[in-house]
Amino acid sequence: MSATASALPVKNDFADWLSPILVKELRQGMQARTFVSIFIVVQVVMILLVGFHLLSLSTNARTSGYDGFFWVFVGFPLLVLMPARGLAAVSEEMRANTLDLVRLTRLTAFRIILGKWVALVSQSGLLVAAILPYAVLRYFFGRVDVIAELESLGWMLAASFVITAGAIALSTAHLVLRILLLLAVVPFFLYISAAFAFSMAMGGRGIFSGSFIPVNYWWLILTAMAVYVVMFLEYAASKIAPQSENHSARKRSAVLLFSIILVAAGWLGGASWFGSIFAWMAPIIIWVVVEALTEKPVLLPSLFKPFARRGVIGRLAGRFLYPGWATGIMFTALVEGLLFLAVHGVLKFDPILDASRLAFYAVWVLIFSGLIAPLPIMFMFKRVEKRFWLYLLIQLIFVLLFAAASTVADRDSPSAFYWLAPFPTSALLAVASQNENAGLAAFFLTITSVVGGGLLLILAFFMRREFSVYSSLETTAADSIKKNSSD
Amino acid sequence: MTETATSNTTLPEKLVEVRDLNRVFDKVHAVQEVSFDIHRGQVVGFIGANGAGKTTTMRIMATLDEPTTGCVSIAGEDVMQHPERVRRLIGWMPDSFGTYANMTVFEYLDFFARAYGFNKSVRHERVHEVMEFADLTPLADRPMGKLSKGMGQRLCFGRMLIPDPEFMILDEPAAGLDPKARMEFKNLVRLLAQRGKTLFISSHILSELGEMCDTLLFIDGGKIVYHGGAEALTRGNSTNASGQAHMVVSVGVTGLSDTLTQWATMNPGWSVLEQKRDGARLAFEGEDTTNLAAGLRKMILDGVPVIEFRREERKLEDAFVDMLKKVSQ
Repeated sequence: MSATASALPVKNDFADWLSPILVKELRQGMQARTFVSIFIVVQVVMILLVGFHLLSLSTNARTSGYDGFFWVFVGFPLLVLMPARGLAAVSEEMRANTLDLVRLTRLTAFRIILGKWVALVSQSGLLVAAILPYAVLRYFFGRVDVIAELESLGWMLAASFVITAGAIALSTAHLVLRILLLLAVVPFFLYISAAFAFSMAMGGRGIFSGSFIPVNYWWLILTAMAVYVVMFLEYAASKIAPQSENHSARKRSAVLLFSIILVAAGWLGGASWFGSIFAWMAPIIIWVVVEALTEKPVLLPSLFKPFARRGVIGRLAGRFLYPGWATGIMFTALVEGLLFLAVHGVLKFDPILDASRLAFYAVWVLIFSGLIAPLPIMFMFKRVEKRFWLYLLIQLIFVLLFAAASTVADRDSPSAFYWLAPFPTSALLAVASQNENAGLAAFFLTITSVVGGGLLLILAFFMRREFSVYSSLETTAADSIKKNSSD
Repeated sequence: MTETATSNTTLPEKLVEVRDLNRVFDKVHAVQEVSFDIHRGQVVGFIGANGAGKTTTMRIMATLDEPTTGCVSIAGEDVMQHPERVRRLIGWMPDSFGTYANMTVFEYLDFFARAYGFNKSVRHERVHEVMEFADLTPLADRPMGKLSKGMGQRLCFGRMLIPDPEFMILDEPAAGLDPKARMEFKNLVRLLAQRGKTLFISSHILSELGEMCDTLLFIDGGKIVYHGGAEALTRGNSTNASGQAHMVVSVGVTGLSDTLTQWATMNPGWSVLEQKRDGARLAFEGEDTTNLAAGLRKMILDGVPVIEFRREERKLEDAFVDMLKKVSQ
């Protein structure tokens, strides 16, 4: 056969070290009609825009309108069209029955997803590279600030990277959810683009034209963007990975790391640093916490091996990192404890803490009680598969209860809020809306602490069962490790 | 791929163990308490009607689905606990597979060879070997979207062979193929079997599997209803509507077949299954061949002009239908 093999063509269009998925996606993507069409349209529009720009310069007419259109025609493909291709990245392969075949290869779920992302963003990068000559032309003939333009282009590309990762994560979701999000996002972007182009045409200064982000914050924003990319890709990977890959542990470890960073920021950096980092990280923390609280336990001994191998410390870590709602409660308590520590660091010298210490503690008790409140209710709906959405639905009902109470409560006499005490999430919102009312905080702290304690007792009963199963699986895993090492 | 058997003898003799497998989708119990073993080097046919639970069982074995309860181990590795280890041993050919747009046959196989970790020189050799084996070389530059059903199946088969798996799971591989392509496919399976590979093939075309497989597994309503050889089934006797065993004989006569059918209706133990122009297919009650010989003697003595008398082997289809009858009783 080797004689025949040597007679056959050899294809060396991509290097060996490149990810197989990247090679596949590039082979497909670079020839895809969508990409080629976007590429050609952008080129034509750029030529026209730069041409008109130069013409207007020769007639001394206003050029800012062309600036606006230039950035809209750069932004739309980069921030909408190219990332939108990510929306089909996983779903299309699932529909075509091709993803299974890729999953059976040596590629891990994360490598598959990463390859898809790199392929898409490299095509976006190619688009930017194709735009660069026009940016230089604008500088050469059009007296624009080329550094500011390149900076804007860089930020746009970075934003495109994040949106593409988000689109890939979304591509693992249900079609209805994807359509709903598209319907929400695309008109919003079109509105922003139109407003932006209009403001530029009127001679205004758009957000993508100039150094609008202080250099001191670049690293923070870039780090946050990188974190979002990784978390989005990790989310997508977890959706196509076999249960034996513990993606929960990865996501939870990342959130614990962010929480520790927040503690450091709170104690060492003060309110501004804590605020900046928290604002970026809060969505990820909330998402991972909710996912942890709603996860089904996975009882595969192979999942327990890495923890059992590390003895007592490993087993202890497992109590926070094994997939499942029981460890999710422990994890949530730990994250909240770290955030409490961080906020305490921020407020340590602030007189506001002394003035409203009670409200401060009430909020933390209510947050934890609010987070775990839907879980006992969820036990009544064991057959529901979409536990994440069920959790959100229950929380939504709590929010609606608060909204109902708000409509009847009198600002000076908020007695209507008192009946919210058994519902921690509603109570939390009531305390937040009446933040100057120490009496209300004290009431909720007392009643909701009792409710929260009761909920925790119910959950502890079920958690005990879960943890005893974990213990036996840890023992099985430890025995298997011993057996393997003695063999 | 060499011409001699290359089966990995370091693998256990009992290559696949399926134990008490159950898979429930909402309210549908697709697979129920399924247990069986597959030995190294066997070609096993997996037979069942549409919706019987074939694909679900196979997907679990291929690490692509998770059982509700029960376990599957391949070469001692549990498919749930160590899917990555199992995946190194198996090849999977789904009943239908999608194509990649803007990709040629060669690029497709090259991608999978990369994904299976073959580096440059080995990769080219491997891809070309597989293309030769599956007769894909003339199609190397053809876009995947322009392949016929048969060519697509060959490509999917070739892709499965890239990592040279020890155990191959093929879900309805011959479905939708024309007779020529079906014949080619059978030859490929035969070649792999000669090389000591273990194959697990599902189909609802029974005659096809009977020729290719050492062992057959019948599944119905998610349960295994038969596990054994094809010969044992075809040698066995059919049953009538009331469940009694009978032998089927094909009788040829000179002249009109009416004499024969009249004789059969008048003689106890005989019944007419099918009347033909020059004979008939008759059923003879019981399983005793001595009685059958006596029946033939009486037929001749009664003046039936017999020129051919042949006991029919049961078709696999009949055996399968009988099996289902027994199960439903």
